[in-house]
Amino acid sequence: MNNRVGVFICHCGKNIARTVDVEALRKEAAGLPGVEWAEDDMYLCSDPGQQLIRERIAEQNLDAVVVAACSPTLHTTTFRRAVESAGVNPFRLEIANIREQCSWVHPGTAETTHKAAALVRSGVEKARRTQPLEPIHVGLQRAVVVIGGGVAGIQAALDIAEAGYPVHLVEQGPNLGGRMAQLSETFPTLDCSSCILTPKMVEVSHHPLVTIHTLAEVTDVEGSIGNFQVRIRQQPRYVIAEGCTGCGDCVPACPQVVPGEFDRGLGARKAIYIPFPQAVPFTYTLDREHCLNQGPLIICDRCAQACEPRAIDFDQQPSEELVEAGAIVLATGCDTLPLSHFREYGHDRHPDVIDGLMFERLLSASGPTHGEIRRPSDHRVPKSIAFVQCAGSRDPERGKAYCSQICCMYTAKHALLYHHAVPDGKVYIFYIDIRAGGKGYEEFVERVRAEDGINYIRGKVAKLIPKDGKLEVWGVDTLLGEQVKVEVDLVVLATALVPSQGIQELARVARVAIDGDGFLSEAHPKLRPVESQTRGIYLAGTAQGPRDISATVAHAAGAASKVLGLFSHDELVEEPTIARVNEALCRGCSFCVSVCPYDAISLHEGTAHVNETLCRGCGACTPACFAAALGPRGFEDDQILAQIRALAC
Amino acid sequence: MTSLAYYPGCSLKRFASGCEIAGLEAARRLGIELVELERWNCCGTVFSMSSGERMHHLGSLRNLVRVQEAGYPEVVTMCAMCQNTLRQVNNEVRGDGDSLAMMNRFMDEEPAYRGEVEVLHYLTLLDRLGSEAIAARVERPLTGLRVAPYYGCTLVRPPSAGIDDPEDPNIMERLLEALGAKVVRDPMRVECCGAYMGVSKPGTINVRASAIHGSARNSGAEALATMCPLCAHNLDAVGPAPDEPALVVFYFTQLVALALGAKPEQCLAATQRVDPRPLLSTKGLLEEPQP
Repeated sequence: MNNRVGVFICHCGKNIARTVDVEALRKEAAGLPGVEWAEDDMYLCSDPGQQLIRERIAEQNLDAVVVAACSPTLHTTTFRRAVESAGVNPFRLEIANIREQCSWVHPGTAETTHKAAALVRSGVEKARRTQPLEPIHVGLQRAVVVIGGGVAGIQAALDIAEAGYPVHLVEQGPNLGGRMAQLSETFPTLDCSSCILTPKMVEVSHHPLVTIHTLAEVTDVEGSIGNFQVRIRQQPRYVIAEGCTGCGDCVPACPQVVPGEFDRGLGARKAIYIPFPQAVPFTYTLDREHCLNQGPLIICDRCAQACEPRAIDFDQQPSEELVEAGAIVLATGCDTLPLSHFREYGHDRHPDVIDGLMFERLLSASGPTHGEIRRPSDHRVPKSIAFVQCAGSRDPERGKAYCSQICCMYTAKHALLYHHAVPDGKVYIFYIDIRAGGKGYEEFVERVRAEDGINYIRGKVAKLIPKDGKLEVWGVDTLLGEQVKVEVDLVVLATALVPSQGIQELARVARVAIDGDGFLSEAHPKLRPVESQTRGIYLAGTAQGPRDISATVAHAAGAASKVLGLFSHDELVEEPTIARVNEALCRGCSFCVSVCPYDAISLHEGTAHVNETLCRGCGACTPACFAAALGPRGFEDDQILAQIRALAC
Repeated sequence: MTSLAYYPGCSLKRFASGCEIAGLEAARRLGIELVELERWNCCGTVFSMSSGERMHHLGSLRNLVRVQEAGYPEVVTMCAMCQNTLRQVNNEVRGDGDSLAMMNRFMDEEPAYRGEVEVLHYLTLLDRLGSEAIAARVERPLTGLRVAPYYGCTLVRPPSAGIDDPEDPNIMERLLEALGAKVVRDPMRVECCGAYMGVSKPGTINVRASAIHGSARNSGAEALATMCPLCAHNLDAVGPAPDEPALVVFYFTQLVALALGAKPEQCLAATQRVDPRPLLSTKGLLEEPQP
């Protein structure tokens, strides 16, 4: 109550001074109780403006400051630093928002100045009552859990481990590699995808600070930034990793043939398998779902008989591990809209309707056709192909409203690779627009269009009609305004990217937000693209939204650098304006526990306890407490009531 | 016997009477009494939906009021176009309280429509009974008859008024299998028959009918089955160009009635241009069912 308050009023050029009579406001402020000094300035946020505040604090021996200027979301930090450098506790700064809440939205009348005065008065009443607050220091666990073993997860894990911090890389599937491992060549440079990915997979698997958990899932996340406890559930591989030499003798012994997921069902694998030759870890996996041994009784042990190092263990059980981590990176990747979504194209009736990822497998030297493009129905080399872009993308009524970002480019690449493999083959690309906004991308598409003479048709495909072993594509050419009918041997749909399965469950467990399309939400679309809305949890790659490989790697490196920024401190420094419990008043009713949106409050021995790193100081608990026992520091009841009274008069 | 409200529509009382006679007989044989509404009027046809003018939609709304008056929760239609128009108008007033209030005020001589009636197509009714229940009632299985269902537009489009997936419907296929017929999946089954284009450009219909008949024939069909009087008119009464072969065009209800054991003269009212009797006779489907 005895604080010596200084009031500083900003003109903000003409932004405030145009409608508020600053001189009248200054005079009124100067006469308010507790105000020792009142002054105005053209731009308080400028260096000279801040210097003015610092000088007056020293001269007038001020111990609380009111800045009447723009919204506190803009310059709170600026002015807190200014007052702190002059020896005033930064939480004794109050901002009266006389721009967004006054000068911008009202005409230049006396009433506007009157309102500005009320806002200043309210700020002064708060400032008179403020107490010094000190930041909270919390310990920090310098280790990371990266969820997802695709290129995003690998990149983030490597960057963090290279800086010297331990990483747990958790992958749901039996091997690392993700979507990128399934691709043949990459646009626009036509680098072989596995040739550039394999060294990274090898590097991450050999890194002494990286622990790889394959066939593993995160089932629970406790704690908060700096101190997470992550529960990792390990599914049995039924092959002892240390024992398996990768010789592959088990494969011919296995009688069970099933469609291979890695080849998108275009090729077959055995129940004991390794999905691709460069797999990391190079350990075979026994898929018990398709194994003859469904129960505890072992009726077929041919793989175990064939295994010289005796690495097969039918009795392996799931296990769990609890890992301490200061940060988590979510790099769970993406899937594609299933072909069954497109009933007008009838994939279930026409095996020669495939998606872009299947075409990648047909192009891949380690794919089901060893890199020869052969269509699924009769294994003939197709003499004509129609590519359908935007299959499910940019289609809010029947698919996804968003652009999947990569399809224009990979379709151009597919057309080029096919044209090189089958020079007399005919290609039709149906498109809405060509979106080639990357370095070298437009040039690549232009090259495909001009040099390879690929026929781009602007329009959508309505349906596919089977005709004499071919598919008649019914579409429209919107540039010529004509209907188009072409007969082709193979149709490739550039299906929309969608979040990978299980993302919702993981988001629930990790308490991160997801957007309307199911992708993980970033903290700010422009300025905080690698942070989730939950502190300490970062996003990498297509889990956050469709993007290509280079953007994914950049995004993952960004997430890693955010983690390293966090780890560059010995401890976390948290804002002190969080909830505090008056234990003498708390009755342990736990009502506050149920209203806290951050799960920051728990009951300990009958008394509410606030987790200082989880609490964001939102104040939801304050009205929930019947005993008035808790609320955020810096927003005490007497301060708030005084502010309201000052506004009302 | 279950009783349900039944809205026939104009076409079924005139040139598409074969559809109704067979449909009512088939329903009776399935233990369903279709009670024709009193004082029903024209639905307005889908043509009335081409304008957003609410006054053009009153015809359908009045019919829904008739159903409400009679105390039925649902109304069954056989005509694809009537079901489409009734359903679209029903959806429109249900989704927009202001529109419903305005139209009720306009029809001040009528009780206010409350938006509670469900419009049910005859095929959906059969589907709800289930393939097994229908198969159990079949007395004259359509064995060996190769039929291509033809949906056209109004049974499936727009999706909000359709009875099945607009691109890949299956309801007629399911029911035909229950009747013992050989189902032929014709890729043209959801293409337009030409609709009202016959009025302004008469040649169009022959072109469309040729394409649809040709596609079904190439797919191995001996007959088409439809639930739309306009499609039947265009595909059968107008048909392909005179020098081109034409398949038999059945109303779906005719096949149901035949399979359930109705007398051929009940199911095959003389409204078909291409006589179905020779085809049915070769399959032994004009004979009395074996007990």
